[in-house]
Amino acid sequence: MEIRVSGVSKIFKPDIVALEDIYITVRPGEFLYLVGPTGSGKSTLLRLITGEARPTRGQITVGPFNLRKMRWGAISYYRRYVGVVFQDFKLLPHLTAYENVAFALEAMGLPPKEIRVKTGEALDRLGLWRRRFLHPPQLSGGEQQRLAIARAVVKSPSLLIADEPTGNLDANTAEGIMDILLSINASGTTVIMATHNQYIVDTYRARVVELRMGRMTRDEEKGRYGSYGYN
Amino acid sequence: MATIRYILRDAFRLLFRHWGLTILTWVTMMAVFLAVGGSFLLTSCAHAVVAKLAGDLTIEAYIAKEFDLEALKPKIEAIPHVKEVTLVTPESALARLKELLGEQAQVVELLGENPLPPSLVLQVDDASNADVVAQTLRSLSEIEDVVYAREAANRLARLNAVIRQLTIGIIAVAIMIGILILFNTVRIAVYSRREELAVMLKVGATPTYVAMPFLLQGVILGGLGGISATLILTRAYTVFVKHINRLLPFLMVPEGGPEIFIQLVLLLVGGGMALGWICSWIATSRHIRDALRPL
Repeated sequence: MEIRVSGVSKIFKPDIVALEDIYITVRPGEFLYLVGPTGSGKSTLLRLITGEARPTRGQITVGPFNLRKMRWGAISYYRRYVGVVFQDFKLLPHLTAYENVAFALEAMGLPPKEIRVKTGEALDRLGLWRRRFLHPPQLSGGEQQRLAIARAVVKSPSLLIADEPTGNLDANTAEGIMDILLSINASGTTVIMATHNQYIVDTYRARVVELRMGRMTRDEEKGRYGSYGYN
Repeated sequence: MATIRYILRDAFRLLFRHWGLTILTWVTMMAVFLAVGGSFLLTSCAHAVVAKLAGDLTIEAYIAKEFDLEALKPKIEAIPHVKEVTLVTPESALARLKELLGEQAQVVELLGENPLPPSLVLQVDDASNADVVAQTLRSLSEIEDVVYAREAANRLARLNAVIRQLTIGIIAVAIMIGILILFNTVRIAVYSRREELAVMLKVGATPTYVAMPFLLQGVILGGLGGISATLILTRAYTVFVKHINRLLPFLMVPEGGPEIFIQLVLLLVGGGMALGWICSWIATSRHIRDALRPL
């Protein structure tokens, strides 16, 4: 799915400018890093793309969906095409690993047999099949993040949004997560990943968009974390 | 079909996860519906008894001898609130008098000619209308005199009104309590799962899918309370009526039967389920709307 962010500004009441005049086009199947210091507007931009927030000015279209004009009741249908991985995982502690992944499909009303197959495949792909009966608190940080990714990709989304997915993980585990995200991207899913991890950005080179104080300061193909300048 | 299965599973999970609260709500809802159903039965009994007494309450209108009783009957029947008109000829009135006097009936023979006038015995649709009908009768030239138990009619009408108002009051208070209890139970359930709901909405669950288990939880709790109260009241009513009719047979309180049971099922089970649905909808819809509303 192509994502077009055209002249988007987001101002929180009373007058806090979170984003100002952002233009980004993400091609289908592209991998994009969103970098910038804390408070630069990365999470706000991701929220605008997931439909959790609405732009004050400008337009955001994701494939056929115009998020500016979308009625709040239709957001649920849009989110079925978008997988989201949160920094704090947002797993449900009283459900097992298997149930955490399966309930994303249940919410879409898929039949039980299809859910069993797809959940099994997703857990297997993320190396969690043998951990399927454990609850999130019984899993390590890396396993929890993999479980969150499994839940995001089990519905085969066209777009995967990851907000600092390696933020709480050690270097080795972060690399493992990156390998998974790249393999998901290689299968055709567009991936947008907000990160503070310089090593990851510099090692797994892809397009980098940098935000500072709510403004886009860099958009660079195969960019680096610390590079500056606006292309 | 699969969605219905997931919704049912989640509804029962909600009920069993907070089993203590579920039992507490069930018992409280049962108590509320006992009050509602008890008031309903009390009113039904009171109405039946009052209707019976009111049915016995008649207006006697004495007709001047020169008028034809048969010709007058349709005119009287046309008066509003008149339910039934019975003709009493002087002959039948005399026969009744003799019957009442028993052994002393020969006293009547001493009078020679039958002194009793023709009359009409009227039944009104409601005791409260007896006054109006009596006044209308008095205004007719054919009517010589009107006799009826005015005070009894007024008391019956007042009694009926008081019972009706009392019942409405009890039912209104009980329903308000029921709404508060169900609303709070579902709200606690929603609050305890707020994180889960937010995640469900983020991964693409529709508001209906998220809300349905809570709505079902409310319906099940309301329905359970209604069913329990119906069973208790049906049994209690049968026992109560048996005792009352033995102690005060003249009241002739109607016995419980399938009709009463069906009315209670409709009122308590149907009402409980509807109440559960409405309360749950209020408790969940706002939370879901807030969770989905873009920043």
